[in-house]
Amino acid sequence: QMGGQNLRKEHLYKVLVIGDLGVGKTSIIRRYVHQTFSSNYRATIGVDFALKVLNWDSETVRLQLWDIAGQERFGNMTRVYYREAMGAFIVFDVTRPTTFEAVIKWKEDLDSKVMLANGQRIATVLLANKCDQGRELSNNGIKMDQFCKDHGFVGWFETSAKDNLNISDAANFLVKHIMATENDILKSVVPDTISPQMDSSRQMSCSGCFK
Amino acid sequence: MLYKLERTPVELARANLATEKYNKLEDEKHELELKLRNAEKELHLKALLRSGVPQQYRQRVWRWLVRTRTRTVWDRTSPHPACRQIQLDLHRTLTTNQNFSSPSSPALQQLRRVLLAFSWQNPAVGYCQGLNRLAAVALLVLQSEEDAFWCLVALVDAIMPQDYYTKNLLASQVSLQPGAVVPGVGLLAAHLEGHGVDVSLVTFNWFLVVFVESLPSDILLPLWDAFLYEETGRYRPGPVPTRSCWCWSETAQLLKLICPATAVTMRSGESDLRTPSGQRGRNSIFSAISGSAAPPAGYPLRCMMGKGLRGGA
Repeated sequence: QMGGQNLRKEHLYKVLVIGDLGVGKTSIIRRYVHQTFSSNYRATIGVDFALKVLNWDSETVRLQLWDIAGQERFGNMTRVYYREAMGAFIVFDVTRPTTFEAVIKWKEDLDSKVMLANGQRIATVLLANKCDQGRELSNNGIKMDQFCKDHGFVGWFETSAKDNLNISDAANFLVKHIMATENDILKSVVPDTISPQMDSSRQMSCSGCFK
Repeated sequence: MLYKLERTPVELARANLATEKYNKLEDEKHELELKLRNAEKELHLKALLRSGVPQQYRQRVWRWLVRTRTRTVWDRTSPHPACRQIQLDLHRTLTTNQNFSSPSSPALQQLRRVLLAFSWQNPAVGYCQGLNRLAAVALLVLQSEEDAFWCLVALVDAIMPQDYYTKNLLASQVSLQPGAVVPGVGLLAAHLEGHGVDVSLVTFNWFLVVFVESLPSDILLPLWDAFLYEETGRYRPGPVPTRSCWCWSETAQLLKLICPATAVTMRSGESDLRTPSGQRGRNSIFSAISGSAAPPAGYPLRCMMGKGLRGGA
């Protein structure tokens, strides 16, 4: 008997977390990976890393989260950081409108520097963080949907790292999209290939082959 | 009502245009009158000053004149563009240190003033994330805002390579170039490279903040002791990449001296980098600093024999 554990399919996805300075990128990652929150994480220099392991149906998903410094002058290095990313979160702070204005800039930077093997844009989810601090976006939901459509986001979530709101939902949503695009790529890369699969019911019914 | 209906859109537009023109003329007239009045005032003031200011008003008048003459400097007290970014990073600096962990701590306001002063002093750099950590360490050790400010100036303007913190981080990115890192820690770098790990992603942070919050303070501060005295990156002839390599190997050596345990993690492939045992190495640093004599013979740090040496004293 083959052990089920060994057959468990593994995925490793590099996911970027970008957005302006102080919008809460590190806090979101800490909440997601370590289930903690602090109001004073140190400011990120360059890039920090975190790993989140998910049990996804019968498969294992490893998310390599790249926490990228928000200050504009680090933007020159983003090309190095973005390399081979499969998905991204772009974060803004709902209490600071300028950070929302910067979202388009971040998205353009991302799309100009990284793409999937099939030339498509990587799946990107917009996070409206610090939603615990009053400003409600839900009234602007339709506008936000339109914004996402206009600028190529697969979706958006109101999040709060402090109150643990929507962060794992947003991550699951992103993983779903990454897996879908990955399947698309696999299909497009090998269009005329048959992948042999074990079909246990058929094997049992064939008496000729049975011992 | 009837009158309005009788006007065609073209006529309406014309009427609007006329009103607009008239308003503009009114504004210009107003502005001219204001200028004239100011000119009259200026003439009057000139005459008053030429006839001498009464003793009891002289202080006030002089103060006003000096302020007017230095307005460009005074205007600078308006928020610097970097002000907001500095503010955002204050409570995110040395968060594990008790002097900085409380939002009401006076150290945070000192840090703000040092960083703000620096951003005015060096507009090409302004504020770069990471300077907050450098300034905080300077504040902790020097215990004075002014000294901490000068420490930041020394680090950015004299010690670190040119353009290390400027708007595009030109020089600091050199350490991101593959190969620039390798010479210093041969085996370790080769090992990591073999596993497809881009070491520069990690080292970039180390160098930008001179290891603040990358090393525990009992290793960090001795490293800074040596760094502040020896590092001559700015004046070293040759292209910047040379210096980046230097930084790596030299840092590895320094770390081995200061903390023998790190020699395990930073083991170098180069046998000539072997240093005296940790304790001896540490002692030789102290004797070199406290004594007036030149460093002991065979002192392992190449740089000690270079420009950093105090004129053979």
